[in-house]
Amino acid sequence: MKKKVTFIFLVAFCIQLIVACCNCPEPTIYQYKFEYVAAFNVDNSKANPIISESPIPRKAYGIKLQIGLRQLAMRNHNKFSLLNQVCAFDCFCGPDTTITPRDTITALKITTVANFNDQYPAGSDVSGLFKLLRSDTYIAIDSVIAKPDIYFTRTDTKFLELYLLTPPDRAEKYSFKIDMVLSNGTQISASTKPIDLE
Amino acid sequence: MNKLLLAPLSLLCAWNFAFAQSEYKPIQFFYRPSIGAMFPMRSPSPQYISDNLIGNKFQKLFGQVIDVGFFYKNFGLECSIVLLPAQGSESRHSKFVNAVNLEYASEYYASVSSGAMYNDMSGSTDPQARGGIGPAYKVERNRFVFVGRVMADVVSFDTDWGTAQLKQKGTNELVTINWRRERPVIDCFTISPSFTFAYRVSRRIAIDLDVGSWLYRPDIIYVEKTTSAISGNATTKEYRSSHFMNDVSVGLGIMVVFK
Repeated sequence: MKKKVTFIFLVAFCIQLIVACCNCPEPTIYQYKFEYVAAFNVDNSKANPIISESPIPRKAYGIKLQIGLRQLAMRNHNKFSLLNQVCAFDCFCGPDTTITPRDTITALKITTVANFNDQYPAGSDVSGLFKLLRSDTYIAIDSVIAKPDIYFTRTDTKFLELYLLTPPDRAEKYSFKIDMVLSNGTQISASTKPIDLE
Repeated sequence: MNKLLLAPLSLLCAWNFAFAQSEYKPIQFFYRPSIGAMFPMRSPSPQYISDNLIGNKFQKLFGQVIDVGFFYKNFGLECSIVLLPAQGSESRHSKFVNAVNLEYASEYYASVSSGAMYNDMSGSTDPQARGGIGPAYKVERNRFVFVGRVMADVVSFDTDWGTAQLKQKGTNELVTINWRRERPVIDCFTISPSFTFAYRVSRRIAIDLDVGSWLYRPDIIYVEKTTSAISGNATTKEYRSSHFMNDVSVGLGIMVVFK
């Protein structure tokens, strides 16, 4: 009997020795909820976009969405096991910290507060006129809903850059309201300060 | 009058010294490494941004690592391999970025995220290789050796691909421009006549000077693809260069006579 037990432990030890080639720390997993959203006017006329309250060229207007997060819980995956938790076949350790959202965004809508043009009077949904910039490519705003990894983050604040690709016909003062609906039914919203688009 | 006689006499002595009956056995087999410089008589490419992605534009110095000649009497066969180390890819990268800026800086912010990515990401050089074989003819006079040859060679050099991300001034427009070739390596058939003048300092060793010409016609096609981020439209333009090249090479080396 003793020999069998020793044999089993030896086999487990050998497997662990072979499989666990590096000693990676156990990852800490945080969970968060969306706390608030803030919207800023962005001037994209220069090399890099800047938050601005000065008049912005119509063709270079954008909105920077700041999504604030609040940590809800911390989970630690320390479980007893004969085998190392990180059964890595190479020596690349994953991130020490993983942050996942509790809720996902199920709707994202941008409405114009002022008359945008004849087609879009005040209060119209102008989400289709904006696009999200991601890795030097403009993607549809609906992608935020389809791909939650866009706003999955490892920091406590996430920024999304939305750019107006169809400028208004007239140079006037404009303001936009952003509404986000979360999977738990919560609705959070923000508005940009009225800005002159020249 | 004496001085007038002395001059032709000296020339006659020098002539006799140079072309007198050889005190060395005729060369049958030699190995001839050398180093030198290559001077392209014209640019291989169509004078555009993509020029900076062509490896051989920056390859001037060469090392003839292998050159062996076998002779029967005065006729023989010679084969050689020449390597031209390329300039560092960092330098090519900066030249590429400068060329992009020069072309687009008035309308776009090109320096923000423009760049070139190379096949060899390690940043080390990719040598250009030239190798060939051909008939040779030699004349030996005492210590002087003259070898003339016409070789059929292959010139092989790398090309890179480049990408520039451009941000239009005053708008949200982002433009991506790619420069690509279907095959990164260009191989060209080459005819290269060359001459070697050697002076034997000993029975086994001679110092030699090479002058050669490499005639080839590379067919370089770069496809420039411009994509607008706002409209999603892409346009392509082809830059083709297919003209005769003449690289004149001058080298200095050692001829090791084995037999």
